[in-house]
Order: sequence, then C-alpha cells, then structure tokens
Amino acid sequence: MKKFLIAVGLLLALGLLAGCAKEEPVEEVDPVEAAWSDFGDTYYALADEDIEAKAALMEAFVREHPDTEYAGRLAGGIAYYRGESLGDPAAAYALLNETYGTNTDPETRFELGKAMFPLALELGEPADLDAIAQDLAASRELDFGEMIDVADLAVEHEQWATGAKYAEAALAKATPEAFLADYPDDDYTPEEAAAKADRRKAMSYADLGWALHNMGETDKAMAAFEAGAPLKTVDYLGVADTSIDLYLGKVKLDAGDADGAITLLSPAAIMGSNDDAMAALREAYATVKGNDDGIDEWMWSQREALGKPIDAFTLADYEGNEHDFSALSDGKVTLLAFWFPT
Amino acid sequence: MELPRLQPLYENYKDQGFNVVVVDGKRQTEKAVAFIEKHGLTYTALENGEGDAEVVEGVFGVQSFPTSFLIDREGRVMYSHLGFDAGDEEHIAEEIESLL
Repeated sequence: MKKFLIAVGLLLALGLLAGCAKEEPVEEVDPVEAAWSDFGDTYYALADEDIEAKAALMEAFVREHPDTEYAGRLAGGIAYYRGESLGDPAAAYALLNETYGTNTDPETRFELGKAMFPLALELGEPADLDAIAQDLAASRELDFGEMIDVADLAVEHEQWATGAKYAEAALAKATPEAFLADYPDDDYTPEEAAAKADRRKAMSYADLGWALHNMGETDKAMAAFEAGAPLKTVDYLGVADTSIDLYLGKVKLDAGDADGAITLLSPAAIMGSNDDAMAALREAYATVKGNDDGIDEWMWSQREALGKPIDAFTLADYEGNEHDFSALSDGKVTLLAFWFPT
Repeated sequence: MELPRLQPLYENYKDQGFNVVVVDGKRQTEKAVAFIEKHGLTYTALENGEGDAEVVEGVFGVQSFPTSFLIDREGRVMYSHLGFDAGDEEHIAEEIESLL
C-alpha cells in the first residue's frame, strides 16, 4: 500500500510537469519564486539538528531578497535559530533590523518587527511593539489573531501597558460574528462559533488580567480573571488551554495563598511539563513546606492522582490493518503522538 | 520535522518495554506515507478515522500538533507534551526512564 501511494504521488508530480512541458508555452519563472523553491528543497534536505546550516540558509535568502514577503516568513526562524539556539542575538537583530528598514510591505514589516522585538529588548536597542503593530494597523484593521499575538508577546516580555491595550482590543474581537467573519468559507454552527468566541475571550482575559495585575490594577485584574476563568476549557489531562491558571496561580502566590497557587499550577506544571508553571509551583511548594526538598516525590504522587486511564480506540495503519491501541500498549510504556505531515 | 526525533527513543528503549504509536490527525495519507518512508520511521503509524471513527479531536480533544501523551504500563496518561523542540528528547527520555 505504501509503495502504491508513493508511486501514485510520483506519477502525479511527473504528470503535472510533463503536462506543463507539452501544453504550455515555456513560462518565465519568477526568479524570486524559483529561489524560494530552491530554498525549500535545500532547507528540507538539511539534517534536523544542523541549526547553523539552517540559520545560515535563511539569512542568505533574506540578504538576497530583503524586499520580498519571504523575508517576513523567515524572520521568526532567524530570530529563533540565530538569536536563541545559537546564542547570537546581535547578528540576528542586525539582519532583521536592516531588512525592516528597507522592506516597505506593512504585512512583512509586522512579521519582521515581531521577530526583532525580543532581540531588541535583550540587546537594549529601541523596542516598541505598539509602534510595530500600529504600523500595520495604519494600512488595515488588525484581526483577532494579530491582536492576541501582540498581547501575548508584550505580556511575555513584561510590556504591561502594551499587553493590556492589545488584550482589550482582542477582547472586542472575541465575538461569534468576528470569528465567522475570519472564516467566511467554513461552515460553523452558531454553537461552534460561540464556543470559539468564548475561547478567544478566555485568551484575552488571561493576558489582560496578568498585565493589569503587574500594573498594580489589582481589582481590575481580578475582574478580568473572574470573567475569563469560567470560559476556559481543559485538555485531556485537565490542563487549561489558556494561560489563565498559570497567571492566576502566580497572583495567588504573590498574595500569600500558596495552597490556592498549588491547585491552579499543578496540572500545567506536573502533567503539562510547562516550565513557567513548574517554577511557580516550586516556589509555592517551598512556601508551604519551608523548602522544596521532597518536591519530586510529592509531584510523583500528584501525577499518580491526576493521571487518567487512556480511552480505548481502534484505528488503521497505512496498509489498512486495524490496530486496537490497548493491544499495542499492553504492559508497555507508550508514547502516543498526534501529528500531521508538513 | 519532529517525528524523526522519536525514532532514536524508540530504538533505545523498545527492548525494555517501550512503544511509540503516532496518529496522523489530518489524514494526509500520501504526505504521511512519504514522510515515514523518507525518514525511515519503524514504529506504528496510524491514520485518524472519519466521522464516528474520528478520535484525535473527538476522544482526545487535540487541536494543536504535535501533541503527545506518555502512558505508563498500567495505561495511565502520566505526561503530555505540546510540540517537540530540539533538546526535548532528553527530557522525554528522563520521563520514559521514570516509567520503565
């Protein structure tokens, strides 16, 4: 079956190419598109762990094509690989900042600006996330995803006023009508659109509450958390799908309620392997116990209490054979991963 | 690109009672088969079902990929992970060893 599918895929690809060659006059291939296609082929042929080669390839493309939309698409990768993984934020910033200065497309500048922002903060360079967002907002209205991106980024980097501003703006877009307007081609029932809007509200209230708390607006912060908490949903292991439990847990810890903090932080820290929640949980645990000796044993007991039996399911492999998951995992330690090919 | 990171974990621990099962959440059959072949992945790869047989979102509530669960010998979900970054293998290896 596998070989058959690959053969079909190859035939389709070859067929399309052959079709082009026979029936179409030879078209001028846009040199930027050709370079982008070459970039993709080279990039995906690199070893996954060869971060230096990946970063260098992205940098070379952006240097060569600074005025294209692809400069924006690669900005985050350059900031992450060169700036973080390879520990050279100055080099990443220099290239992105230079590109930001020459690129005139508002959408691309927005991507470049978001990628540059944490590097600029780290290096003590001018870093104004609000100005970066306003630059795009001058050409068109920001959508919910862009507003919450800016709010998340601001809050992550302790830019509280910007975080609060964009979280409030995101909240105004967290309606079923705005959600449906973002996906005009999809069929959502009114109930589904309402649920999606609630999730957007929960995300917005989490950032808003945490930003306001850090601005000293304690009452307004609590009002935001109280509005957001009932709207959150939890995953299979009880981990909230927004940061609201993490932020509220840290607020409770600041207020001296270590037990309350432990309750809120445990699912994300223990089951969700969330490092921020883990750091706060460790502090809360030490507050209650006097020190964090024994936290590993305690976490283990919590994991045993929170760990739930996995639901039974049966699915087919690519040769059409049905597999009962309980047979595959019987008596074994099993990693079950959900993915999709890119 | 994350799935190949699981192959060395599988090979290191399979003789001690460790298994890896991956489920393609979006039913992109041709791309999935090509990817598995290209990277030489030898663990069990399943395809999500459709309609009533759909499990990824319906049973496990998974909407973000990759998401993974580490399940102990008694069938209890003891850890969940969102994403696999470079370096996460070490962390996951520690968790696997804690359960073996």
